[in-house]
Amino acid sequence: MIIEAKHLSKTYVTFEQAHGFSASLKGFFRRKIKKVDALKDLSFSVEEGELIGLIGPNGAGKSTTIKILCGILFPTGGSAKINVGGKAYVPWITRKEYVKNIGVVFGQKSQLWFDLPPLDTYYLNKSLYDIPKKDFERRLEYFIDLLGVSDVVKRPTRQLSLGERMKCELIAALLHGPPLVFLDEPTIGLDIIVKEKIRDFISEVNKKEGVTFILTTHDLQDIDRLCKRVIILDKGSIAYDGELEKLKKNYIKEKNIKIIMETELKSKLKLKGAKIDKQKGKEVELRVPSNRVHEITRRLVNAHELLDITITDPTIEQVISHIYRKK
Amino acid sequence: MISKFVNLGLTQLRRDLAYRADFLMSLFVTPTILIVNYFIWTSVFSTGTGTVAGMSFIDMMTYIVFAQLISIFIFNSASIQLQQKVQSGELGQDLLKPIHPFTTLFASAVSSRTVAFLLELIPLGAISWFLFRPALPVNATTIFFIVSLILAFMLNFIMSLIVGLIAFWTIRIEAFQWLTWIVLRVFSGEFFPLSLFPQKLQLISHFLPFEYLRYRVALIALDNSMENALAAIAGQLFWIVALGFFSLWLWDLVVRRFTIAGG
Amino acid sequence: MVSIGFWKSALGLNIASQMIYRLNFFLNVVVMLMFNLTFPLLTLLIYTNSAGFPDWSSSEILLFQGFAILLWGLEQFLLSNVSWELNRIMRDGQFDRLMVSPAGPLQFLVATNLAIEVIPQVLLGIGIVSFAFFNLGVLPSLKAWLLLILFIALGLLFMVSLIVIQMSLIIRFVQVRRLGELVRILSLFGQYPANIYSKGVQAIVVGAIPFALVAFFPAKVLLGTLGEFPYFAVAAAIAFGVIAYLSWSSSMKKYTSAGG
Repeated sequence: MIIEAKHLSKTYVTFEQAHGFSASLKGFFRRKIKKVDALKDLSFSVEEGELIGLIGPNGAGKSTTIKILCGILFPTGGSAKINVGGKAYVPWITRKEYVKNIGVVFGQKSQLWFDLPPLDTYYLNKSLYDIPKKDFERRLEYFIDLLGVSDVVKRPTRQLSLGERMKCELIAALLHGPPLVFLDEPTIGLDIIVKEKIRDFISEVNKKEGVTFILTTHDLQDIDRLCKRVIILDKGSIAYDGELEKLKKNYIKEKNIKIIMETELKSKLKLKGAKIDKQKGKEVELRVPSNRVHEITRRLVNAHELLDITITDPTIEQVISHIYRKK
Repeated sequence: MISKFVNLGLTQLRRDLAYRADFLMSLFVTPTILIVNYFIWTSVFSTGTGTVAGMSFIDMMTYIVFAQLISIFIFNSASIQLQQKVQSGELGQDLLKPIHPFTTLFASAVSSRTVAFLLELIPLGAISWFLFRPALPVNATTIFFIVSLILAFMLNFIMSLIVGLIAFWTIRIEAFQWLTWIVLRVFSGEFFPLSLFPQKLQLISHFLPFEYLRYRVALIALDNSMENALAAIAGQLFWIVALGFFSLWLWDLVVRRFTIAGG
Repeated sequence: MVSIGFWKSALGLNIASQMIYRLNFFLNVVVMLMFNLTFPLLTLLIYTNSAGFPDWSSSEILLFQGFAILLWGLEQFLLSNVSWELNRIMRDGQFDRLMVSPAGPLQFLVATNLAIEVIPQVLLGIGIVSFAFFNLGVLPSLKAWLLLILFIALGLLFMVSLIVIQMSLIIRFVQVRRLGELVRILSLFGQYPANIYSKGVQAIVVGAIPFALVAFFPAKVLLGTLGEFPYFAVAAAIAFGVIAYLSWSSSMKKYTSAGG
């Protein structure tokens, strides 16, 4: 096991914001404490070589969990053990030594020097992580080849597009050969082509090098493409921890259809097998069972004049509410 | 009308607080400079003939106090504001307004100083009184001093405009602003009287506008010479006119460049 | 502590980064020199117009001035960009990035923000010290050399501690802008030999907030005019070091407990 988390809990203590003059005055002398439970009794383990998706609505506790596992936050209760580099670490206790064994990509926050080519940052990291020359050059060549950025890494970071930057960012996080890598929103804001390339890259590195990836994302396509296993967090607890396929089979059984009609309907739309979520003016949002999408859509199109139709997967929130309803 | 003026002043004061890096610090800058200078000159005058470059100890301390007073009076953030207008592109909007931006900048500079001057005068007055009880000489040249003070404000304002406009050509070179700022302060006699410089440098300085910002103004308060006062004021007027025209010309250049290059 | 190789590499990147805008860099060098030489300029003018400070001949004051320029320059080289940068990082919520660095946030911050434009000033300081030293023709004892190294080390410890304390406050309270500027202004007291101050002020500058450790004592020890060993100054510098360490640990603890 590379990660073993047991009963992790994290409670933040904040002060209640005072509103109004008299409350502010009172607040000056005694402030009301507000406790926020970000994590409640979180337990899970990760095997080496897994590629796990960590998803959940905003405020579910994803970033808190990642921060604890990176060692930059310590939990209020519970324990976590990370087995890397031949040792078992408690991340927040021996942070400086521990972080040599992990790679982190923090979404929009870059570690690349802005005015200089990414290559310069790579050489800085070489001395920072004490990477042996041979390993450094081998990995550098391998990653640059895989992502096709041999010219890009020589140009100043500020001249690079968002996609090119993210590719270079990934390389920076992997150059020291960490067995465990945390990716926080690595595809945010990128176009579909770049997203595909990055997903391929992550998948390849995971398979070929056996690197364990923990991926947090709001993009369900990322999860679909990369992760066999997902952990869904909601309000600080694990709502689901298991195979993605099972999740799809058991919980994601519907699709969202959003239509814009040519003419506004006078009465409520009636469509057998479909559940109407919202109907306002010419716009209607409905849900249909996944295995009946084709049939119901055909009926819909035949029965009404439509200006636009969009079919999407359920959102994380819908999946979660589904899970709870099943429970 | 008055309330509008005060309002403008307070807004500008708040902006000064944010822009001027050392406004809060100026509550410490002035006293620190005074105290350190007090010790420096006390020890220098303790070994020696009693005058340094023709000034006695009281002369020197009086000079320092007045140089600081002048600094507080003439300060403005016009160059920084202009710089920011250029960098943010706000300049384009200003071109559409019926008033020349110089005028609005001047108005806010005046109103903010009126409030701030009185505030900053307090620590200055307190420390200098505590250190060496300066006698405030009120005589015939006092009127000239006040006139010269106002002219120094205008001169500093115009110089700020020029420095701010130069930002247009040196957008990536912030160092240039700092350089001009330091040169302005040292060679106008803010930290020590220009009489300390060797004669040759003093001669060159006579032909430059810098000494008319502080040094010549402080001298009016020091010696009672009518002639010096009038010469100083004449010099100030000359440079206000000369640099004033230069700044207007520079402004036209910027506008032309700006409107050609696009917003 | 990360390897020397990391610091060398970081220095290289700092230089490369600054050299992109050559004119700006050159002007920065000039600006820093003018900024930091304004008050030494005053000392020079004092000595050309009078007998100068008591107990300091013109060649002796040159040695003092050289140390001041050199040592304050070293401090600026290491730390002048750091508080500014940390303020920006805290405001943008980027501190986590520093926390996962094997170098630790403090070391990483300093190493990646070296003020290259101050190097000419440091070289100038070395030049002035060497020139003044050979001009004076003194032969300090071995003990004097050792004391010199001690005082320089403690002076640097003191200056670094001030900045570290400021950074601890920034991490804790996110917006602490003016403190660094305040410290810089007060350091003006250290730009002049401490014996010009009244007994009361001397006690502070030597014993409580030992700015005098920076140039005054190093110069005196080389000149052989040290006199009594400055116990209070040494104790004060060490005390500042301890306070800096404690405040940094405390801020780190708060950050790892409450997050960004």
